[in-house]
Amino acid sequence: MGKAYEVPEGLTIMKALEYAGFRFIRGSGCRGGFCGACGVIYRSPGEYKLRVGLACQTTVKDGMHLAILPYSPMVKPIYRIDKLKPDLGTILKYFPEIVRCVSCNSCTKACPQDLEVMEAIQAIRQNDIARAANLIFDCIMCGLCSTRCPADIRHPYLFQLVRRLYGKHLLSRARHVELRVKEIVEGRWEAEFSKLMKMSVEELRKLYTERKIEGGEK
Amino acid sequence: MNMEGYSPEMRKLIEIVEETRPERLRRKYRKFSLKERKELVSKWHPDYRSDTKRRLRIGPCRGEIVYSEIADLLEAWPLIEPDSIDLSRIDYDVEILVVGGGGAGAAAALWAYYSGVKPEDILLVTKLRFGDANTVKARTGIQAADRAEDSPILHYLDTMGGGHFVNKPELVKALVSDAPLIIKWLEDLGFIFDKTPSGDMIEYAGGGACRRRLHCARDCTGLELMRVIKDEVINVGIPVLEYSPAIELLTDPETSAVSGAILLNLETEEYLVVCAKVTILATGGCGRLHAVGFPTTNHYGATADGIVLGYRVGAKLRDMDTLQFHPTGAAWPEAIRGELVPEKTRSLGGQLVNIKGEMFVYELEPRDVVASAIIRECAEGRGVITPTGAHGVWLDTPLIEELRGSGTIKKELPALYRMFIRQGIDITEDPILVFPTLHYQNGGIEIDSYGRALAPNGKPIPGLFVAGEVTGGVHGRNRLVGNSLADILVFGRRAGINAAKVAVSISSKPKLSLNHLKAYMEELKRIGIPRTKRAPILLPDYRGEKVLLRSVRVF
Amino acid sequence: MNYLSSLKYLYYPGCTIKRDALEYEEKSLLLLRKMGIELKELESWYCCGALPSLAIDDIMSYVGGTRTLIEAQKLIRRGDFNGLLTLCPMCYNVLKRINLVLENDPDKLEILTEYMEEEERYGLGVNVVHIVEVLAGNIDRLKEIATEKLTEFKVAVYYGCTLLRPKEIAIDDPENPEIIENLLTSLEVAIVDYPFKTECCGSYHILTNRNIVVDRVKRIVSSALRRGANIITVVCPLCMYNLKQVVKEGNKLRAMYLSELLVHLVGDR
Ligand SMILES: Cc1cc2nc3c(=O)[nH]c(=O)nc-3n(C[C@H](O)[C@H](O)[C@H](O)COP(=O)(O)OP(=O)(O)OC[C@H]3O[C@@H](n4cnc5c(N)ncnc54)[C@H](O)[C@@H]3O)c2cc1C
Ligand code: SF4
Ligand code: SF4
Ligand code: FES
Repeated sequence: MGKAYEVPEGLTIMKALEYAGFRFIRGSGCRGGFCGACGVIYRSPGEYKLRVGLACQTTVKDGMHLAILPYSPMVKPIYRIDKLKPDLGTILKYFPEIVRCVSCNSCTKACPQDLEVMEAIQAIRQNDIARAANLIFDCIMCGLCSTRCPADIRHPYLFQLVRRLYGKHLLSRARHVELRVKEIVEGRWEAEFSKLMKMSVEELRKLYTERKIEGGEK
Repeated sequence: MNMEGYSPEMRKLIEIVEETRPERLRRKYRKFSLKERKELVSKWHPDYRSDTKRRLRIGPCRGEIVYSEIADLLEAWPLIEPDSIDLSRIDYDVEILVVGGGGAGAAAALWAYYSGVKPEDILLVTKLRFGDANTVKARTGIQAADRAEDSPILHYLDTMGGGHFVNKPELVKALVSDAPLIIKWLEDLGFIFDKTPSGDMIEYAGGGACRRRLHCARDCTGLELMRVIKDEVINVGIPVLEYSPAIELLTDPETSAVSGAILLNLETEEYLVVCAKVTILATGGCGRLHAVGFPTTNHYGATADGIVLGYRVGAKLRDMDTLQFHPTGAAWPEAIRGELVPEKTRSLGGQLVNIKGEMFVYELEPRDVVASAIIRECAEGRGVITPTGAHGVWLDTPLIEELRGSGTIKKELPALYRMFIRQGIDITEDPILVFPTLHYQNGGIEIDSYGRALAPNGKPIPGLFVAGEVTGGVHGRNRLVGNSLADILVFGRRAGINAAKVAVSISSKPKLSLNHLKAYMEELKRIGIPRTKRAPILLPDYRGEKVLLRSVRVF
Repeated sequence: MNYLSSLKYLYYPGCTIKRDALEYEEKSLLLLRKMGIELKELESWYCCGALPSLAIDDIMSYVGGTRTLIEAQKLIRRGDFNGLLTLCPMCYNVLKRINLVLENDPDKLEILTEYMEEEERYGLGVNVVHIVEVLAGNIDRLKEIATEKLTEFKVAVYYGCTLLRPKEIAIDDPENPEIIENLLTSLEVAIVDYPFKTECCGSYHILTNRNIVVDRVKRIVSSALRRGANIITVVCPLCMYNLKQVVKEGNKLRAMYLSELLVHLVGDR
């Protein structure tokens, strides 16, 4: 960032910046590698490569040059998931840019979650929604892949659509959930509840300690 | 020196653990007697110690005991001077204001919309980005009694027992009866649950539950939840304002009903005025207060703002003298300090070992006992001090592989393995350092089953709904794993639906004032709180000491 | 007859097949299986690059194709495959052309190898073939299993461009190809000759200017009709798509993939 700071060893980039006196507004979210708020772009000494990563997960190194990338600008398309067909046609309508993928693999190399991003893009183009959804299930939507993509693909939102198409239209529904909901709506448990809610703590405790644990004692 | 992985000094300590491993492999530490447990816990567990808490001197719950860090926030001056705020210029005029962009807030906004409120009449404001929240970090799963072998009744019993039977029954009933409905809703939205090919849920066992009841999305359930409902909020067109925390609620001078909020644009530092017929507080927990100096699993914005705002308009707090400390948070490397090391690591056989390679507790004692034992070891000098000055004891993970065969860790704890291998530590070969970490706010603002905030007299505070981790009563004094994700959606939904009903029933536009604040400030003055103490704190301050000492404020 | 000598190819479907021409794939795979030719689909494959950059000579447009060739190279090393089979002429064209360019321009190969550092080097020499070549090369096997006749039909063969141009990679004489006609004649299918069989159908102009395509296809189709054809057979999903802009269900002329036509001869079980 054009200035050198001295910080104790072993800190993450995020904590090192804070130690040096920065206070984050943008660029810090979950602080545990789950939200993608803390993208950072850096070069390490003696390495020609420009790397990207998460500031909360990457340890600082002596002589590292870096800049915070808290946001990868992109617009999310608006859709009604129940009205969509789970196929490539739908996806192309919202993300026509995916046909421009040149298989350069830059996205995969950028991904802090080590996802097979390029494979996922190709799976989508091959109309294999289920495979794609599974490949990018762990995506934290940091958008670091998109910053490196020569085809200008909006991966985080693209993958969100793919996952929802899969979850909504390709996964089978749980029958037992539907049944239970029906029971509850019909008031099947009401009588038992009113008994239970009138009980004293002692009576409840007795029921509690005597209840059977599934799979036996653990 | 490479600070990922272990330093040579730490390697030497690991050798000690390795030396005692063969012997430990053959035995278990004895279980403590009830008396020993009690002694240990009351001496070392923050919840049972008296020096961690104090009596509130101000506000609706004056005289009640809460954690000192919470008391400090409640006994503090507001960020604004009421008289310097121009309430005549309204920046946002809406039916429903939702404060907090986590799971509870998003669910509330969506259900208000489903209940007929136009999306543009709802406003969701949040402190960081939409979705930067504790919700996104939840890993294990979400509870709902929807298998034939299970029932809402059993879920009720488990929850009450887990909460030491002080939970509010009407809230527990709401939780367990709505939970299956929530699961169905998530399915409708396209949430990817772990399922069998025929569509049945694969459900897992969780501590304190008598049935397998945890619904999961691999090991990132909260991530999937946040992604899906955030996507839906944007799709239906509900406006979202990021980096704009609420710093004060507003009240109608005539009815005393909550009538909106003052927001702070964190980037421009200008304040914004929101007028709303109904306000839903969903600001989450308090881990970043680092109560009693503990690290935390929580996100950056978990600073109990909602507690402060609600208390100032007269809301009743409950169970704020108990916090959930997870016994095993990572203590090293620094990158993942405080992050969760799941209980499963111990149920698979990982033993807890001190610096001398000795066992000091049976690893499957209840959470509070294990946490207390770890704290004791460190306080009495038998813990390991990391290069960054943190304390910890060893959790002997390689033992799992010896006990259950190699490959067990990668199969049973893939996310944990990934978390450490990224930091240069292979937990199948080396043990890890752990220390208790602040995990969850058990109590909070008391609500009723409609999601309305209650005053100490048990009456609802008009215009104010509350949902999620910021509330109290659902979990009593201790929350079960998987019940929080159910909680935030069940009560987010209820708050949204009922807020919509209330908003429709109010025809006139509410008036705005900060009268409640003026009264509160009188009290602050009376007990002599220094003006430098201010709340809500919005974000923790992690700047280095040297910088703070030399800071010159210009901008 | 050498049924005993096994014929094994790796198979590269390409995106168009998976999206718009699943029936072409189905019939082709069925046909090859019946002929005793074994296919193994690549585990990972990448868009050949035809769509984004057919015209531009940008080295980036070679990356996807080269990755696919490397994928094939790895599998060929492990099993004895006779080559990499394609159904879509566009994919055939691109993959084959990449082979050609990289053979003649070592610098380009160097740059690509550098760029795809995570991959092994492409050692050239993956034999890319189109299904028409494989069918024509195994007429005996076809004859053996062809039980049906197509007496009432007269077939016009339509090649399109990408199997024949540029001439270095053409599967037959680019000016007057006869490979498909010969194949069909030997199976006793009646052929009509017409002058437009290698005329371009308009290709991707369909996306920007439908009229160009419709005009061209009309010329092709009416010529075939005038010569008495009632089937026009194609091997390319894009040609098929374009032909169908004019040739509709219930017309005197039917458009049919070559594989589909052949499946009629050998039965679909
Ligand atoms: C590491 C971890 C693992 C967990 N695992 C599980 C699990 O497996 N199962 C389970 O059930 N529970 C789990 N929990 C608990 C659960 O995730 C949370 O309790 C729950 O998600 C809280 O949801 P919420 O919407 O109430 O709060 P949050 O999700 O924290 O959302 C609150 C939002 O409000 C915003 N906010 C705060 N202050 C303000 C303000 N002043 N103005 C505007 N916005 C504000 C915050 O920035 C945040 O976006 C886990 C928690 C953690 C930390
Ligand atoms: S796929 Fe892209 S957006 Fe998702 S985690 Fe990887 S780099 Fe981030
Ligand atoms: S970076 Fe873009 S162009 Fe390159 S492989 Fe990934 S998606 Fe395709
Ligand atoms: S702060 Fe969430 S990923 Fe780094």
